[in-house]
Amino acid sequence: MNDLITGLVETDASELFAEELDKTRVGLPSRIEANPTNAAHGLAKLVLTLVELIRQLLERQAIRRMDAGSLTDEEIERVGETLMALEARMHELKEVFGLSGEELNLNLGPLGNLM
Amino acid sequence: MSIYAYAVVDSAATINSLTGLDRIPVKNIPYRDIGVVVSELPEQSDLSDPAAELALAHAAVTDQLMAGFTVLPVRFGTVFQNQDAVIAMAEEHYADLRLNFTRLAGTVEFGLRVIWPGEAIRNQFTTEKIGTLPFSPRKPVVSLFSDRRRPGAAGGKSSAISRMREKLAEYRRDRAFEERADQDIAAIDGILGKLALEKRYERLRTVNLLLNGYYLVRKGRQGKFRAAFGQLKLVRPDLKYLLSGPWPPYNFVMMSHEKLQAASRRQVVPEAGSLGLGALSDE
Repeated sequence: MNDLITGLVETDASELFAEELDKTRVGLPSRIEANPTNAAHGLAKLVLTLVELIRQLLERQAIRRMDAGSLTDEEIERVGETLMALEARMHELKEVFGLSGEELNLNLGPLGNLM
Repeated sequence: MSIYAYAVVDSAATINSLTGLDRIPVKNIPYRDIGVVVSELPEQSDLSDPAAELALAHAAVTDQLMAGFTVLPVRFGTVFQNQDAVIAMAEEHYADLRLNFTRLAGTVEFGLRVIWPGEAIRNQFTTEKIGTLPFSPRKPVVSLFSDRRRPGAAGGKSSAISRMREKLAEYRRDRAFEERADQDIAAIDGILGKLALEKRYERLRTVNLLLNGYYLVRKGRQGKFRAAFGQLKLVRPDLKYLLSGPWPPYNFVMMSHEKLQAASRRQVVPEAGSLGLGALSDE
C-alpha cells in the first residue's frame, strides 16, 4: 500500500513539508465539546472571536486609508485612539472569560489565520 | 451494517476483485448509468480518528478505479446507513453528477506544494526600509476642528499616531511580501498553468508555504505535465517542491448547476474539442 503513495508523491524535502503542513492545521477543532457547563464559555469565545475579526477589519481599513493619504493627522489620531480603546477592552473581556489570544484564532482559508 | 463510500463512477457495471477498508470486497451500487462504489463497514470501525492505513486503503481503491472509469471521489470517511440511502443520494444528485462526468472525463488532478524561504524574504522588507517610505496625511480642508484638537495631534507625536504609523509600516511590509509571492507564483504558473484545464491556488498558507496548488490535467498530458515540472525545478532550484498525483479530481468536482455553468463559461481549453476520450491521444 505504501508503494501507492511512493508512486504518487515526488519530493526532495518531505520533512520540511510535513513540518510546514502541520502549521496549517490551526483552526476550528475537529470536534466541538458542547455541554451545559461550558456553553457560556463557548458562546463568549464565539462572540469575542467575531468582535476581534471586526476590530481587525476596521484597523485594516483605517491603515489602507492612511496609506492612500486620505486621512488627516487628526483623523489618524482619533482612529488610533478608538482602536487602542477597543483593543484594551478586548483584553479585559478575554481575562474575564479566561481566554487567550490564540483561542480566538480563526482559519480564514485562503486569507490565512485571523491572528 | 453501514456502507462506506469511495467514489461515484460513470458506469453501472459490476466491479470484482477489489478490496477496500479492512480488506472487505468492494462493490458498485448501480443507479441508472452510474454507480456508487462502496464496501460494507464493520460495526467496530472508527473513522473519527483515522489511521493512515485507512486513508491509504481509500486512496488505493480510487486509484484502481481510475484505470477503468471516470471517478468522482467521495470524501474520506463518508458513511451511509444502508444501500437505500446510497441510491437516494445518487438519485438526488444524478444531474449534477452527470455534468461532472462530462466535464471531468479523461482528466486527473495533480497537487503541487511549494516552499520558499519566506521568513528570510520577509526580513528583507524590514520596517526600516518600508516604514520610511513617504507618508503624507491629508491636510484638513477647513480647520473646523482646530479648537477641539487634542494635544500632540498636530505634531503626530501621540501614542495613537505612533501606533498607527507602526501598523502602516507593517501593512506595507506585508504588501511588499505578498507582491513578491505573486511574482513567484506567476513564474510557476507560466510553466505549469498552460498544461492545465483548470487550476486552483492557495497562496501563503504559512509564511514559508508559498503555494498550495491543484491542476486538472488531461490523462494524455500527464507526461508533459511532469516534464514541465522537471523544467520548473531546473529554472527555480531555490524552491522546494512536493508534486503529488495523478489523483481523481478531488478539488474540481462541483455540485451545483450554477457553479458548473460559471466554470464552463470561464474554462479555457487550449485545443478545440471536447474533454472526451477522443481528445486524449495528444502525447
